[in-house]
Amino acid sequence: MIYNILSEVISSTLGKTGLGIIVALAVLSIIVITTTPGDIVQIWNSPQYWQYNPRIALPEWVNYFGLNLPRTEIIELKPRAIRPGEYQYSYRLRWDYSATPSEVYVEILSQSENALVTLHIKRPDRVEIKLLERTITQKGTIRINIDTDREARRAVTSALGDGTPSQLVFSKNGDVLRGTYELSGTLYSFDGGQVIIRLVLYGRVHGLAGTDDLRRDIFLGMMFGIPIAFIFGIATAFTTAFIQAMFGILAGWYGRKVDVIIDRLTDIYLLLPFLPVLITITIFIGRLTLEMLFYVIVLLSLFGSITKAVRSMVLQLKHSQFVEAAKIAGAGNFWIMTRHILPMVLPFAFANAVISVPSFVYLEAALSLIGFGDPFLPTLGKILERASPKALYTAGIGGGFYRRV
Amino acid sequence: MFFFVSVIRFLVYRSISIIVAVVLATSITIYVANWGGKLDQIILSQIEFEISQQVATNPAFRGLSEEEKAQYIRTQVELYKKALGFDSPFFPDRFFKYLWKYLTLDFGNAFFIHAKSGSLKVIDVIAERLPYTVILFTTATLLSALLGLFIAFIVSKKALTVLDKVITPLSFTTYVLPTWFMGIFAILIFAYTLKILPPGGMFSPGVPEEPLPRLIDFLWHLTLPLTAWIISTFGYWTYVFRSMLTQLYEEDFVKAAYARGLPPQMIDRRYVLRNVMPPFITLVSLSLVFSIAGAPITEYVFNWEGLGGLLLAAASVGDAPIVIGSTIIFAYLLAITVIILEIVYAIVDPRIRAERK
Repeated sequence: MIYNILSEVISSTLGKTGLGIIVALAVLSIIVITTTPGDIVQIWNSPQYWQYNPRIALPEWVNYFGLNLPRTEIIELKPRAIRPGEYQYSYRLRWDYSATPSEVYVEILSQSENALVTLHIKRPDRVEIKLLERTITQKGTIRINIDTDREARRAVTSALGDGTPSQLVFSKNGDVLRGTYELSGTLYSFDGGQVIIRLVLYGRVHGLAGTDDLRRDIFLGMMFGIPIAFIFGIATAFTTAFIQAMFGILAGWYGRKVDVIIDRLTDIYLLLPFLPVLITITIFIGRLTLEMLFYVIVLLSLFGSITKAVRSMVLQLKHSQFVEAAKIAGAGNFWIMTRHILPMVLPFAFANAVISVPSFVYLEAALSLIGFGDPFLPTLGKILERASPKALYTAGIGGGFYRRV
Repeated sequence: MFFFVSVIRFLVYRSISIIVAVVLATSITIYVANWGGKLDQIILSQIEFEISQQVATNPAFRGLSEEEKAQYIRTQVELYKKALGFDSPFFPDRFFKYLWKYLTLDFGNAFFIHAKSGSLKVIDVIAERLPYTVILFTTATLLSALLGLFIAFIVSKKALTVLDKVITPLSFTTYVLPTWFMGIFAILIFAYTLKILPPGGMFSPGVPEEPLPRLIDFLWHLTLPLTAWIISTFGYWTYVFRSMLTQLYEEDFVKAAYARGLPPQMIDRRYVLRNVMPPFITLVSLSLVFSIAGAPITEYVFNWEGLGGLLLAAASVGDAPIVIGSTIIFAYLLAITVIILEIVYAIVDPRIRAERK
């Protein structure tokens, strides 16, 4: 039976492509599920993991189209000892990209509880800025964003005028300033503790699909999201299709009272506007997790168009010869229903289930998009929800690949 | 004529069963909305908060001790409870009261959202936005179906030619993406990159009051959602009508008409189109129903102030009466559409009249 369905699908080119996409996505899902760490939800929601990604970055492959956008560079400044406790470091940074870095951070990892760090930068046009002079009084990591740190901001704006420091430092008259930048500075460690200094130049491209505003790699998000969407879609579609088919069989077989009840119920269900009712439920029961969403959707789809269609099929089948023969031979209702009626109805239900999988996936995505989705899981809709126009574009491309025929 | 009576009897029967279904659907909504008494709690806590505020700020209460203040608040809340009828059990008293109210379109007052005319009544708020939803979705569905029909006509006359093989799959490619998705892309392309269409909303701020400029502005804003919707959905129509039309063109009576030498245009109109009409109307009405149900998302994407957008806005603010009211209005819309569909069906397709027993 499945073979028949498959061979018919494969015979058309459209079917081949569709099937190919489905298989590819299924394989992808399996790969993702088996290789992701168990706590992806944790990772997705913890900022530390994504620390060194730029915000709202474009995917790296845009650089093949003529642009030359920077990737994130982390420069570790290696201090050379001049005297005990006094170190100097210098670094020549070559900036050839067609854009400024999106953000500039200075990281100080200190083992010392008494130290002093200075950092100077000399631009290609010989303008020198003393970015910081910072005393360190405890161990730990300090991250300084030159856009928000008062000292750094003052230093930059007094030397270069008004504007965002990270952009000002790397540009001249609005255009990116290419050339060699010289970084230099001194480190005094009064108690001998080690201090590591890093300059983090956040780029504008990252990964295969860019990043969102929380620095998360969208490609990874998509990878996590695809199996979730897949499983959710398949589970909901098949469950609802088969429950509806079941009721259709019951209605058609037992007839009269049962039929009327089920028919009325189906009418009511068909009248309920799905999305509005779903939103109403979300308001009164709070935000739904994916699991709860599954149950709610199943409850809201107990009866539907499949019930009606199956019912008419069963009505026809009731009068077929093999059913009559079975009845004469003394077969019980249950036996006839499972052995004769069900196999006839199953392909139809199966086909409907398959067709409706995408709509359930979209439903979940739509729900996330408007903000009513699962609060923790990284679903595809989730990514779209957080999207600004740029990040949205790349997330959208990913979402667009997820389609079936 | 005799069939007229039986048609009306059938329609009355159908309408009644639909109305019963609507009533039951409304009841379900009411029941769900009051699940766990959350709605009552929300209202009561709001009232309590307001009264506490009053007591804290109004100098008339200065002289009272803490104990007396608390007592006052409590009695006031009790009074409100009685006034709002919360102390009577939900089933059956309040339930039927609500049911009757909702069936007569009295949804009470909203919590937060006002109508543009200033009214707090939920029906007014809904009535202001409903026309916009209807305009957008009926126009979109109709135009999309007509476009699909048009393309199907062109393609089906030359069935299985290269043109057909190219256009049919092509029309389907946009269909698989959900409409709001196409919408987001459309906004990205037309509003942000090309900047020729507004990214959403229905009117530009500061639009003059005269009807003509307003209308033009409205139409300009209507273009983007309309285009996105049509691009997204026409594939379905093309496919459906194409299969119908190719079948029709193979029919004997059509071929006979050609053989008789009738002009092709006349054949198209009288023989083919007329046969396509009933399914066309059915499908259009059905898809109207579905599109209305999916309205919230589309309206959210385009910032379109219609019923769906209202539902979402109310949901995010926690304005329960509007949420319930909108959902029920949605259900009524669906019911009305189904009833109209049945009526039209009965009129247009003589087979229905003969068949139904």
